Amino acid sequence: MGMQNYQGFVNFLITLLLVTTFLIILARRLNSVIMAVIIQGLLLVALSATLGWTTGIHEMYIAAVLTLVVKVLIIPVVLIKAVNIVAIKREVESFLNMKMTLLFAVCLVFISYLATGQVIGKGSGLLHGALPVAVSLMLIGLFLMINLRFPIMQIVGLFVMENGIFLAGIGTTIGMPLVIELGIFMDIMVGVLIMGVLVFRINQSFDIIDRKNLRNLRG
Amino acid sequence: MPLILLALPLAMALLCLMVTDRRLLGAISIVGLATIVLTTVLIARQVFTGSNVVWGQFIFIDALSSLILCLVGIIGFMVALYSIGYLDHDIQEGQLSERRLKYFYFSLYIFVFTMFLVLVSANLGIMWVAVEGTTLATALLVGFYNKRNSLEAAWKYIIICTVGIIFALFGTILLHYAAVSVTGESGSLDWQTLRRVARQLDPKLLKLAFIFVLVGYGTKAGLAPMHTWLPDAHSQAPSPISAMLSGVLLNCAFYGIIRFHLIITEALGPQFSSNLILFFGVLSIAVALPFILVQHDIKRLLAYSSVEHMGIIAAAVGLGSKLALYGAFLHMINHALTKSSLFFIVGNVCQHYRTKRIIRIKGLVKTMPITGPALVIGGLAIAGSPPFSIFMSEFIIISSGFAQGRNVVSSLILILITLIFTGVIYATSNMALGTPPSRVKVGEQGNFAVAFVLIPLLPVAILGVYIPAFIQTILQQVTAVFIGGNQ
Repeated sequence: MGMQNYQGFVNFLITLLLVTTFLIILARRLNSVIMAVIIQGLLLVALSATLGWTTGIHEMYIAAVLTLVVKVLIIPVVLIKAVNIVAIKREVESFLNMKMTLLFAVCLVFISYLATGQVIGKGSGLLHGALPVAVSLMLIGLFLMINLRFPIMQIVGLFVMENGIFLAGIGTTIGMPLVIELGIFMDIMVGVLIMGVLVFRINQSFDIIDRKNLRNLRG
Repeated sequence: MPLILLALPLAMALLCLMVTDRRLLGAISIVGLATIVLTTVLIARQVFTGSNVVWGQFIFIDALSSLILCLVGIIGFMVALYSIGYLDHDIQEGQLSERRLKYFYFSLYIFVFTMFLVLVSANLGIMWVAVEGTTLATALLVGFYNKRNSLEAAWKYIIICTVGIIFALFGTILLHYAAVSVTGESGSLDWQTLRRVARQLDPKLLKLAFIFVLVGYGTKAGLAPMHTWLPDAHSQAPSPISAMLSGVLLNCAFYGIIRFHLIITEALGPQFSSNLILFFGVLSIAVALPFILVQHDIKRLLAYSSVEHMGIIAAAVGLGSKLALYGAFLHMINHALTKSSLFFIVGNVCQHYRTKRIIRIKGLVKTMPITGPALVIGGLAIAGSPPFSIFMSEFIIISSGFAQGRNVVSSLILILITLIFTGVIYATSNMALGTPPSRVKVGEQGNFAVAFVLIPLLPVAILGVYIPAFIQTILQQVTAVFIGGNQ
């Protein structure tokens, strides 16, 4: 089975990944952010399953199942719980306004395409489209973490960054060896759980959870 | 043997979860860490007397890893001993409830386990998983007091370090990408194999990978400008944990950088990665300086001093001559011992004075007859005054820099550490001398707490005037790893 037949479909999935990232940026309500997070997780599941089918590498199916469990089930559940316990206001607040945020994100995508083209050169790697999108996801994830006030949104930013890494992994070398992939998934899962615990505790000791309150330690 | 090393802390962690009584927990943790020290020493003895420890595909221990393994074991053991008195005091003061004590020991052992995993893994991917594991194991320890500031510190810590470490993962993936066509799936992240085939890898990708890894693990190692989590986490964590973070965790993260550095040096020659490490090293020393000079919080002062000392170690590794490397690892030992004992001392002081602010701590020599003088000694030692061991290693590093003809860098380091010296001495003398505030009673924090401020200072004083033969051999073998002699 040749890769070529599926190249179009895979590229379509990768493009959708970028689209969902923009959905996360554009969403005004936390519920819609979590919705976009779930969709992005599902896209990654579809992507790794498709790659597993076309390349015949069984490890990709395991990666797909793990992604399903960790990124479509556990992380969204933690996020929803955190939002329910913590959120008084369910609107997303950002430091920059929406126009600037969008402009910035588009610039980041542009930079990623330029930079990856420079370094890797065209035609190398398994999927042409994967690496620039992966780097875009990393940069936009980082930007989300800086731009958004709500600690829960920082978890979402991390999630987007990690998806970028995952895409880079499967896009360039069809994933890392299985043992390492398992370890990475465990780290993400435990990490998000601990962040959930911390958000809960911060909420208990501050009345309103906002990063404005997390600014005592300086100098 | 390496399996025992990994299984012990895990088993101890689970055991601690089942116990609630604080006396029993203390006893268990001392016995556990004593056994762990013994194991690390046995492994180190095997490595230093001949052969590297190899187990299967994933475990490889050479001189470099066993040096840091021993440091983790020894500092961990002292932390276990010191924690008992420290936590007892916190429980009496109502800062902690006895019920939560088991989670402290559980996290401590998981922390030790993840550091061991970093050091023994032969595979850069597993090493990454373990480094991220250290962040997760300690995040809740940093926020253990559940106060506003400690939760803020824990949040900053987990977010900044996770982001940093994600960059390191990207670097690891790039290296994997560069290597997979040469080595195949199985060996593509095995650092020994990579070092062997380094010359066949794509240099562009290697450079990019190294930059990402340096930023990523550099965040964890406390190199400026990615160090911002460090003063918060070190100052807000319970003092035994601060000692652990400062004394060994930073070294473990720096170990990750060294492994990549060795591969890159093999492929691209010594210039590229050495210069980057040197640059970040000197930058860290420079960034720490102003914060040390105007610091108001004693634990933050120690934290910035850790940034400085990691900078010195990094600069020495960047200089890269045999003498500089010898100095770097001697400095690593010295810093681990001195800084952990200082955190013990300051832990006692802060509990006794109930504050961390330097201006509110006065007359220590009068109020705490042993801890007070110990603070003076520790302050002198960490600042780098003779005859203590840090002076020795700093002297070796700087003179090796001059010997290489890198006068500008060496003078810069010399000037910076001289200025930092004044800052540290000024702060410690302010605390040690003067009239103690009337609310503070004269007395120590109990015999148990006092013993452990003195024990680690002993080797610090000895190593300054005399380096025993076995430490010489150890350091020579560690530097031999860099020129490929120990493969």
